[in-house]
Amino acid sequence: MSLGSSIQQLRLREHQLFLALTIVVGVLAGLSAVLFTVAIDWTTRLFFGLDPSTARLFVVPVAVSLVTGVLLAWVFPDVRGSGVPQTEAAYHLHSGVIPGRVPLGKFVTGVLCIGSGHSMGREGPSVQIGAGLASVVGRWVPLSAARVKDLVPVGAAGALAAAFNTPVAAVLFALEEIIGDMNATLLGSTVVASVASVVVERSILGNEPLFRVPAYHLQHPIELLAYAALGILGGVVSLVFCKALLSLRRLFMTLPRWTRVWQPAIGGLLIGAILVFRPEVMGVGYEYVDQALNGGLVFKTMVLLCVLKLVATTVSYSSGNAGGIFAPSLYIGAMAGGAVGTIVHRLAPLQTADAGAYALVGMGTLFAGIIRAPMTSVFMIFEITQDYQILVPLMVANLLSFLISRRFQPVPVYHALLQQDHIHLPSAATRVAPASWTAADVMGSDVNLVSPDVTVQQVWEASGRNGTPAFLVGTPERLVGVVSAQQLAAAMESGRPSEPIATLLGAEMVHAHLDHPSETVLERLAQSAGVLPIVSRDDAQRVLGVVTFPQIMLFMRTRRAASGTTSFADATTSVSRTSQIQPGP
Amino acid sequence: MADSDSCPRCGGPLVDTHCQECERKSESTFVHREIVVLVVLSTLVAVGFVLTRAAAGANRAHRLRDAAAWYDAGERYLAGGQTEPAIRALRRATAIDRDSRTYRLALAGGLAADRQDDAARQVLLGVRESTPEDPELNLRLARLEARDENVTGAVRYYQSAVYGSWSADRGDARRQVRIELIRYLLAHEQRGRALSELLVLSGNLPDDVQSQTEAGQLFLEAGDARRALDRFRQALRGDPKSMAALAGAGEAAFEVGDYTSAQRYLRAVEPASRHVVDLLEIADLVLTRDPLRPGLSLRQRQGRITVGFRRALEVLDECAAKQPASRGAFESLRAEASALEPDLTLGRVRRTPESIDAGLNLIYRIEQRAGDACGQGSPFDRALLLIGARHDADRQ
Repeated sequence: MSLGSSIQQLRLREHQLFLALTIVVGVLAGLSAVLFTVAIDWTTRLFFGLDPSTARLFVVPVAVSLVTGVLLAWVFPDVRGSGVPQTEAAYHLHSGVIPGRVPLGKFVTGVLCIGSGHSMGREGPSVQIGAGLASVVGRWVPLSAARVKDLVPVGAAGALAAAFNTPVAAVLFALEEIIGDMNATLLGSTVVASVASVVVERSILGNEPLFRVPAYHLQHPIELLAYAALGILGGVVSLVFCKALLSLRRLFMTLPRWTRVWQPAIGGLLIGAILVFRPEVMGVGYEYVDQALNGGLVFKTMVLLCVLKLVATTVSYSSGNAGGIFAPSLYIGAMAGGAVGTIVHRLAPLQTADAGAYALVGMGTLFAGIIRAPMTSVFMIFEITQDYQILVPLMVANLLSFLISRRFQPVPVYHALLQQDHIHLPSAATRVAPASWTAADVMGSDVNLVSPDVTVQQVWEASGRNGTPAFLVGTPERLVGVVSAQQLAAAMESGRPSEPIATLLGAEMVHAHLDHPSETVLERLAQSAGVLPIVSRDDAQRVLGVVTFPQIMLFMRTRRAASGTTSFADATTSVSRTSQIQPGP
Repeated sequence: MADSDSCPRCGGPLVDTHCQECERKSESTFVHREIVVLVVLSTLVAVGFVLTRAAAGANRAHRLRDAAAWYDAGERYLAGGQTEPAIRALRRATAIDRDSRTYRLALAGGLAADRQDDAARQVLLGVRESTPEDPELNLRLARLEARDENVTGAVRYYQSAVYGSWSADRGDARRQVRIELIRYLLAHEQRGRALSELLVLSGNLPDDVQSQTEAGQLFLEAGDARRALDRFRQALRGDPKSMAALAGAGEAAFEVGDYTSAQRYLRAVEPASRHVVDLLEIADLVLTRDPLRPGLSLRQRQGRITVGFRRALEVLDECAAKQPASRGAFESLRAEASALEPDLTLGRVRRTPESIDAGLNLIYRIEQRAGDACGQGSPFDRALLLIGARHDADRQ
């Protein structure tokens, strides 16, 4: 037997093994999602009992958050928040490697946070747990690095399928959100895992839909206008939610590092106060969504719960607790939709459906606006209702909400959350564009880094010596910004030579990543001061190199002759060849 | 040379620089590892499944207990008239145990008690999806629709309830629902449909006094006095002293024009209600003031027609004074009466006995016109009307 045929057989076996593992991972993800749900139920009952007193409602979130604060700060620092963006980062940036402590930590902290009343969802953590288990299994087997990476969305799809009991939507979510490519070759594997997971979930919990909804019908074509209005409102509410979440989280992140251990408890304090006022906001809250869908809530209540859930989720998430925003987005959407439906039905009772139909469409609308997965949202609602009639209004409302949200919040919320952590995921365009060259090909290693506390005068003098058009401010591990020669000249003319260079930095820094295609690099270089820093996607403050126009020209001239491109490893080592300007004595 | 032809690992022979022995071992190791990994993972998954299932089962049991506790609380609140907390508790119960029909019906009851009819209807319709032929459910929906004055919906649900799946031992309950439907139809002027349901009802009615009396009353309300009389008589066969049956039989007999029987039944009623007294008085008057009653002498007939004629003229004058607008019509009747009056003397009557007929016809028309213009008159007026109507029908 030749080596070639042996390797071929080995590959075939790995392929078969991968297929077997997708089933195993699907089942594991399903089990973990079910267990997570059950554990949250148990914890909630344990903490609050059947009918909690006011004191209990207030004290439990604070007390438990003190414990989770310690866990999240010192034991499991990488399991804060939803888990979906972290899974995306693991897939795109870390070759699908998720440490074993992540699913464990997410399970424990997720159960404690959601069980103690924080207004968060269980689906995002389930996705991270499922993906984490898949990664652990893949590495334990061990599969090749590429196959380990492939298992991550498979695990995520399995977990989501079990969490929502919506296998098709889970597959779409894995493709649309985690992989970011609807034409992905992993379609078959995600379907297998999703089906395996749902079979397990249904065999344990029964074939119960997440929500029980009466059959709805489009009463009159003109009713589509009302659904369009709901779509617009949904877009606005999504936008408010995203902006509030990102702003409050940014605020919490500006607090001193030592406060991180206390931040979940600060969130717990506010949540406790809200729960005393309206306990309906507690935890996942699907039973109230069910009520809204079945016409069980009045207008005032729905408006109030919509606002309070938005505030509570923003607080819970921003303060660093572990939990997702899937369920809250559905909750807020159901309440907003129900409120709109109540008004519309009151105005034109014969031409419009009951408020429950609007609550249902509202759920999809907020999901599309916040999560930015419009196909997933349409199929998810369809799977929940199993009713074709709702599809047209749902698509109209979802599209409007999605467009409004994208127009005013161009970066999707999951990516924006990662960016706050200095992690920049590749955009869909970056992933699929066939570039003639990328930033990695043209990147140079001559990086002029200046320390943030050197004076303008010192940099100005250095500028005169080497004629560089701009200076990167910071260290190779912590880039703070870029100062152009023009800025230096202006500062010198205005008599600020003794000021630290950091005072000239703006809020935004134009940068690129190694995989950015030529078009993006040129576009950003044109926006820059002539020196475009290339930073890591994993940590956007870490400098890998720079791109300048002369480097590109040189690359183009020598392209034919060039035997190879600058690899990732070369680029990272090239930073070691930086020139540093340190503050003078 | 010998060294370069042997494998550096195992010392075996090399073929084309490959050691077949090492490759076989490597392949075998991989295959073994695959199998071991899959077996271990499958075992873990199986154990995980069993544990998760057990945990989920225990959790479900807990949740069901929670739901039962909420239901009990809801029922307590409802019994105490506190609908708002009752609804809240019952909603929690139904949210936890979504399959429980009992909880959902209780919630619908609470919502209905709180006048949240739309929400109650929604809950009931949700339950109805799985049990569309449930009579109790349909009855609740019918009552909700009835409360909302949706006659079509109410009748539809009442009929669904009546024709739903009743267990064999609940025939009486089914009858009661049908009676409720009949009463509802009668209250909404749908006598034809009510009568149809009544005929079905009477077909399988038990022979007890109460049922027969109730059916008789319903027939009476539906305007079928003859069948009503049959039912009341059937009831009286069971209990000849049943006051309700006697009063009903009296009224039914009165309606069919059998005043003799009516008089007999009504006289037996004790204590007599105002209605019974009125009916009896009228029946007495019909029997004692009818000039065409068989067996009377001509003098007696002349006497009765004269009394009736005088009363009719009084009514005419009184009503003309009350309603000047109708004076024209009354004038013509007055003129007719003046022309006929001389013919009603005993002598004229002896020569032309048919003038009693003409007199009675005129009395009937006067009473009719006065009744239309000035409302119901005295018992005597009503008796004159009935006498006139009776002979008018005979003439036609």
